[in-house]
Amino acid sequence: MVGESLAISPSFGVATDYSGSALRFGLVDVKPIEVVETIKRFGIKFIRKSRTFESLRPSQSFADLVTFENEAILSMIPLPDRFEAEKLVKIFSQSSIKRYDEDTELQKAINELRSSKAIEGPLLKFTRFIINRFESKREHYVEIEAERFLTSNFPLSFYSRFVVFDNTYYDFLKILEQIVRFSEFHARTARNFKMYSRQIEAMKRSISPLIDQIDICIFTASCLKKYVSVWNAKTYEQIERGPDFLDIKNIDYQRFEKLSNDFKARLVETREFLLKYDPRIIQKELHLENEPTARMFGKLVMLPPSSLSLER
Amino acid sequence: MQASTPTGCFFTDTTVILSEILREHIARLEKFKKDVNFHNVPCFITDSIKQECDTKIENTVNFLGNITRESIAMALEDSRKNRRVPIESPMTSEDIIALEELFSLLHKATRATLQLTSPIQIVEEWAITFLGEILERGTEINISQFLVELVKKLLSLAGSIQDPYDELITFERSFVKKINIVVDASIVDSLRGLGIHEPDATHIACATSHSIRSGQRSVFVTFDYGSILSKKNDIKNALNQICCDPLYAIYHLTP
Repeated sequence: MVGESLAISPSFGVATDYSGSALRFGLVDVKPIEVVETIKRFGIKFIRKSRTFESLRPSQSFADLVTFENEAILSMIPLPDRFEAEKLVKIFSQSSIKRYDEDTELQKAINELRSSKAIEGPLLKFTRFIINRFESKREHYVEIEAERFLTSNFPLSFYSRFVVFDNTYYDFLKILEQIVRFSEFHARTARNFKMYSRQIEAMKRSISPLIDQIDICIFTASCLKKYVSVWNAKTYEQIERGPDFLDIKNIDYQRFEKLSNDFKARLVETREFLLKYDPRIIQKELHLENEPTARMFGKLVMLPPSSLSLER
Repeated sequence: MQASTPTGCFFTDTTVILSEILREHIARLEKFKKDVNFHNVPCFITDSIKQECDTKIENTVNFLGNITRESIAMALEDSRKNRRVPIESPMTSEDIIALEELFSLLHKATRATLQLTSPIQIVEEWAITFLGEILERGTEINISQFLVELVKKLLSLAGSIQDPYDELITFERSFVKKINIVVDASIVDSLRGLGIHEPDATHIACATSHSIRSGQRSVFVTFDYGSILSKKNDIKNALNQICCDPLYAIYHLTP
């Protein structure tokens, strides 16, 4: 449960796109229901059955979820004396809630999911909405990392790990899409509501471990980002809008390395976990040989390590 | 006449692993992989190679990051200050001239210690070609946008090479398998005596130690002509260890 997050922000920035919780809300915390209505047409009574979904959780629990998550994160990292843990939890949570409240697009998608008829394939539609949204912002996330790198003195490899995470998150979404498409299609062809419900339950069982795994990974990424952010902020105001500059000298390097290694290990674990669902995720066709940056990188990486230094 | 079945195994060098990840030496590696699969020859990667690959990738990423954030950014900003051009103004060929100055200074600083291909030249070609193309297209870009674009390219590349890296090394889903070798220190010393430096001496010693213990031939496969293949005859004479380019590897296992 620690990884429940709708508002883990990529790149120290703002977004509600790492939607472990949104996906859990939309795909797992739902229950299929059958609505039976009697309608009268041309003077004849008909029984109309339609299938839809109802939420297993009250919608206001988002605030509780993010507060719980921020408490968990902040209990994992040491804090500077200038900050109180409770106040930080409040600031981080309020900022997530505010982003969620302003995210009308996501709320609309969740509401549509609740009101759609099963015949329209609402689960796949919702998953595709999350994927399209993430796809449309992927380049922007890389840009946020690039900007953050340029206003810091952390090494570039620190930021590149978050790009790997973005790629992994995208792979996760694509796997989820495959499962939802398959399950929803089979559910829709079920002969009766009992079989329909059984198919939906089977889908939930198969996607729950995936969402749990990505949530754990998001959690470790968040611990690392918040640690760097908190130790580089001087005031609560800077916590809210993000520190102006990230200085590696402001952090305890051993602690940083531990959090980095935790994140790295979770990332590898998550990638291995996803591989069980679809081995193709690491077999993408990369045409690096025609890419000038890759060609340049390829030449540099083969040089002796001693030549890669600007201090002479 | 039918060729005999190759017996033994291959130990891959960092240059082979990195070339596979970055799609370099494609033709040679495709043949090598075909040979490995066709003849079912075990192909290993040692801890020392994995470690060197990790370090090389990380160091290269960080070197490129630092040169962009420190040297390129600073040179462009200083030049604007000297020319009294606002920092937010779109970049022009004057900015390329400022970078020419920067790279020429960096060349001077590195020329004394470096080999034929300087890393500075490699970065220079990449950065100037990229900026030149932007200016040629007539796209307006200021210094900070240019720097962001450079870093974005580096981050995207670093992100995309993780997949082939994991396929090959982390999850061993390709043609190499990880192996733990206890290295015989005397072999490392002999290799050092031949002028093979670390970590290459340890890499080769892993293959030799395995060969001695298993009683099978272990061929060390590398693209490193400068430090290893140029001394392959000395290594063979001293330790009976074969080092070769992947193109020829299979023929060293055929009796």
